[in-house]
Amino acid sequence: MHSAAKPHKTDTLELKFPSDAMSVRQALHQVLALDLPSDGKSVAEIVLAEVLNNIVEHAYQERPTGLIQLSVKRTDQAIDVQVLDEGVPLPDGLLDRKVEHDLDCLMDDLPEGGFGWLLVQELTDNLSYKRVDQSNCLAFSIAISNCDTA
Amino acid sequence: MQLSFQDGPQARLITVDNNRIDAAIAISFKDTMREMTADGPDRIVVDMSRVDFIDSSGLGAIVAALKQVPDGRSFELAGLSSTVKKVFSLTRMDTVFTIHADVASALDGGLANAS
Repeated sequence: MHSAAKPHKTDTLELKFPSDAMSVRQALHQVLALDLPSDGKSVAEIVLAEVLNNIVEHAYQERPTGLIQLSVKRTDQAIDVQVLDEGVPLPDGLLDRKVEHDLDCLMDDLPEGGFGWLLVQELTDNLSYKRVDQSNCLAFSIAISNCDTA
Repeated sequence: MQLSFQDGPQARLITVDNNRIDAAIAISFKDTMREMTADGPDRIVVDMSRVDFIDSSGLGAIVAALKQVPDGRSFELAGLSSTVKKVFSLTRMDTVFTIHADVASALDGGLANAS
């Protein structure tokens, strides 16, 4: 029964850009221009900003000439993201490491960094990492329906 | 980096005019906050209501701003947007900061009445 089929919306975006701050910011703008619910948009912005900043800072170590490939697919339930770069591999075990800070400390000892990966872990589903040849391939999805509960 | 402040008898209200606190402005945010929290009333309330996005560097700058406040003075936040609130709760920084729903409730109706 064709007429009863649920309307299915799919938006995809494929981007290739260099690892400099301005290009990363433009790529982020393009993703946020996709038709997303506002909660999904803010979560996507947090996650993508952290992932792309990590690639610029750690994988390419601030070299602005690296290549980043970003693929974003929006389905009814989720935003599926794949990010490729040719930089330094992620540290072993980072994916499963729970980066929880001890906040029961003196004020002077409060952490001022290390929040980025924690946010990525908390806000994504199906987070996976593969090193293929000389490339890092990070994939994850952001559930649109779960965005309210985070 | 755009920060401005206004003093009442009991509190200093610092307003963040940027709509993003991210890596691009993290250092100037921290430096400007150091100057603005060094003197004035002992109670400091930061109006965050215009900020609709922070990243991990921005969060780090806000934590750094708290840490550099001289002993005996408070550093409270007010008016977090839902996105900013999410970043604070996921990193559990909402347990470290005093956070008010908005400036009016933080200052009991006005800067002049704040106690």
